[in-house]
Amino acid sequence: MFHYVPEFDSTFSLLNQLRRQMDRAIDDLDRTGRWPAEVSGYPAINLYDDAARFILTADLPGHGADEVKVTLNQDVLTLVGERKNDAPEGYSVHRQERTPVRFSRSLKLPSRVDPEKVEATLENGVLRVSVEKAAEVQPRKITVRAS
Amino acid sequence: MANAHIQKQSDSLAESVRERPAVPPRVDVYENREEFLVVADLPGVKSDALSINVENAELTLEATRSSTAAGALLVSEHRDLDFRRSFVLPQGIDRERIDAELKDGVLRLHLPKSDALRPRQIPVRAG
Repeated sequence: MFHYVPEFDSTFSLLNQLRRQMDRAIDDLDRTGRWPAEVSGYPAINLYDDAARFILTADLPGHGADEVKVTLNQDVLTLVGERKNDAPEGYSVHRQERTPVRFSRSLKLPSRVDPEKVEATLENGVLRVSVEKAAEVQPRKITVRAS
Repeated sequence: MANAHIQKQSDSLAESVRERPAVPPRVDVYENREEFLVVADLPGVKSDALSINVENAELTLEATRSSTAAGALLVSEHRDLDFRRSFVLPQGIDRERIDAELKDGVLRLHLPKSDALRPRQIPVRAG
């Protein structure tokens, strides 16, 4: 009498997909400066998994290396920082889209990491934090022997 | 055989033309007696990936940000993209002396006013 209807499930996954696309579109608007910066998290981040490490990149143009604090607590990575108003003195303002920001963003990494093996660099306004995974979650290569 | 080769080449061409969205960077525009100053956020852009062109009265910034790709993408909020934005220059900019510096992903573009445009104080003599 009751039938399992797989189409019903996929309707929701389609909706979910639509929702994600909408979120991304709004994020894009946000970054192009036509939307207040508070809408989504600052800074915009990417997180990569290169098997041995997690690599986080964050857009932080105009932030000096001493103005960004990166902390790792267990597997939670936190970025804290501020960009003050860098309007030059003695100039009148015609347009100001680069508003001063103060941010704090935390991100839970998907697996345990080695707190001793963290590196952070800031280059061309992009922060790059590389965190090595804990030894027990490192990918292991199993050699196949011919019997 | 030759056909196959051509086919292969056009495939690789198609591959190299990636879809890169171009977005306008955020900018500040300032002015003082000597110059206009345009400040633009260009995260991930190296100086050799930035071009600034002046054509007629239009100044165009174009920049390509270098990829941050490093393995499987788990969270994606910034993408590989191009920055592009054009400005109409006001009259009286000394184009020869336009100067640009890129530091920490921020471009500072100095647009000096030509001498004729600078404010000048006219001394009043007693007759």
